[in-house]
Amino acid sequence: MKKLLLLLCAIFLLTGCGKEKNKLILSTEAGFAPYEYYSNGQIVGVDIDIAKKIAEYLDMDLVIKDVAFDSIISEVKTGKSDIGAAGISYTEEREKEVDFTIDYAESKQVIIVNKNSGFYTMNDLANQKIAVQLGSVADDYLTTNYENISIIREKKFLAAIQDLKDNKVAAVVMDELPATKLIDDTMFILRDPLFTDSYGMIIRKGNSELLAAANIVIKKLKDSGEINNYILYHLGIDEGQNEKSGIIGRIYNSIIYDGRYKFILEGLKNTLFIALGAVLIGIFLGIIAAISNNIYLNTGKFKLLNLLSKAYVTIIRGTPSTLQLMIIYYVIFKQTNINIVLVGIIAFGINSGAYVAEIIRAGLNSVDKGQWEAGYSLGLNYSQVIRKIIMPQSIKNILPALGNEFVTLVKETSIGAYIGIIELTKASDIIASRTYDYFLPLILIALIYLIITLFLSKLINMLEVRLNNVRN
Amino acid sequence: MLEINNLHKSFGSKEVLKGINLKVNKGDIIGIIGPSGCGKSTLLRCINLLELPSEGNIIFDGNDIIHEKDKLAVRKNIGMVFQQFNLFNHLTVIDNIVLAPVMNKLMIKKEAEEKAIQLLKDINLEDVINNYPNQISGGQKQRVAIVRALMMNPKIMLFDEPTSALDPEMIGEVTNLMKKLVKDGMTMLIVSHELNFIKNFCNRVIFMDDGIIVEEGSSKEIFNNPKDERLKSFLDKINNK
Repeated sequence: MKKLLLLLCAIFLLTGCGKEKNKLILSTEAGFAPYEYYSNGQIVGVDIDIAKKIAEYLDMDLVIKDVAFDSIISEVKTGKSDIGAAGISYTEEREKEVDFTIDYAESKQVIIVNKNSGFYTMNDLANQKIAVQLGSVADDYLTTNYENISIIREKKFLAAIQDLKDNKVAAVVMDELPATKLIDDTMFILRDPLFTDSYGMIIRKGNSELLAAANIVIKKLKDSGEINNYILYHLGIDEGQNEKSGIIGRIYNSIIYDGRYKFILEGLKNTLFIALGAVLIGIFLGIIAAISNNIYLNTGKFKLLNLLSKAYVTIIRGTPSTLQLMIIYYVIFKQTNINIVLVGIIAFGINSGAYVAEIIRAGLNSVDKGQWEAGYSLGLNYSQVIRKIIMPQSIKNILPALGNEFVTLVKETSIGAYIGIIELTKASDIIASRTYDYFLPLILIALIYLIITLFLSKLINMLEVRLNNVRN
Repeated sequence: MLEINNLHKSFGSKEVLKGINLKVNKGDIIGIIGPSGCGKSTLLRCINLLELPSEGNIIFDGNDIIHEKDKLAVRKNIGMVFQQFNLFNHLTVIDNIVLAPVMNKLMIKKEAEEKAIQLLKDINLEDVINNYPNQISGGQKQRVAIVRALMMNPKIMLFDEPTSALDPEMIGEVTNLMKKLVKDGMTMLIVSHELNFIKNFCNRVIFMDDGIIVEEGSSKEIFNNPKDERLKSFLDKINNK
């Protein structure tokens, strides 16, 4: 137990450093070329180039965080990030939450339809389904202005395009530049854009110093035509991401080209690290909760701790883990600039602890009552009985269930992407956002999950066999 | 040495013991008989505080043990043997026996092991010293359980149906061990359905029914000359089986 605590302290010290003064933290969702996207393992794009100039102007180091698009405003509002940029359009709603810089790019929101669909104007699309990216300006605009269409809100605009391909929707509304990249020869963009709007960067209300600096830099870049250069440059870079075709080509594009396997490795590392850290925290919390319950039932002591444990188990088991993760990140660690992998370890650890508590409780209950009575009748006290008699016998019931919990945890880590952790699932997302090919990276990470969980199951099996051998 | 006064015990609304009075002298071998559910096991379990009585008192060696804070100290003086043996399944025979005296700091481990080996040798169990409970027979298990209880040097031993879970051919080895304890002057309370064993083994017998002691007397009085109708019909039923 002491070793565990030491390890946790070490993790805190290594990763949980305080907010650093000379860093400018930018939140974005890197899957929106040419504004922000991954290239050679790095997040690059027009927004990033501008943000770099702002950081340079302020003599700060730019740190880029890749989070979900609908989390960017929370990031900036809570001060977790200083600035947000992800092709964010001005809306009144958003202006209530955060300050916008002057606009740096104009965006045409276009309508994409399937060829031969017979849709040529927005009017043709009345009473149809239209897909948009959740929380995007297109989402906002359609919601406000078109009551007669049903809006399908996808997390990613890639998924929106896929919906169109699958004929699940009649059209997709999105920004023109990425749209030209995304469509294939079965689709086309309607001539008239639905509307035009401008992108700005967002900054926390009241941070007027940063706002002023950003405005100065953006104005300079706009006036000198530099931003147009950025756009042209990144449109050029964005060409040829899928340079090979055929199934071998697709595998090459998804894994090898542009060093994309690095995302998989990074994702694998984080997935394993989070699962391992979380399982340690989970076992620690689970033991405390289960034992306090057992002590209370057997001796009547620790009433308060037992109540707390019960509340903990009930709340955690009764709420979605995604929600818990978001609450821990955006509410509890609101003001601290804590390493997100560490947040993941803590959140998944707290989540797992509730399940571990139930596993241990059931394991302790599985030991025959006669064992307790024999222990007590020999003059042993509660702690001696549970340590020397009950615990050792319940281990073989607890271990397989605990193994299952670990396996579940490995898979659960995939929701870490919500707060921007690059774990395996996020890694496949990133790759798909470059190759526009969801299938291969998804199959690849599914295989990796399978290998990990098979390996774990095997390990647990071996442990069980060993325990049984010791006994017989 | 043991005096039970007006002992009541309820489980929820069900009263299992309804006023038990019993005096046990040093060296007594008391058999407790009666139909199933009459409260005989509960009585034993109350004596070593596995169940806390609802009312009444139990005086052991001059102390009222029900209100004694240190239940563990009381239990150390009262050995208990269970129907289902309750050996610790994860420990070898020797470890089963030395666990409690070592944990209670009665002896150091080496001392306890030497004593345990001696006791096991006396009853020809030296071959199974390092076996686990699931590797030995029921009769061996129960004898190990008795030795385990003896290691605490109890002043009184409680036997809750010690031979009921045994195959007939194994009963003898357990009762033989109990006879040895009589020779050493051990005080015993035995709950059993083996009426012949009780008849020959015990110097006093108690017949319980429905939570009270109905009749009490010497083994001869109870078995050869029963007075209460309930006792008579109980003995008849058993004998005609």
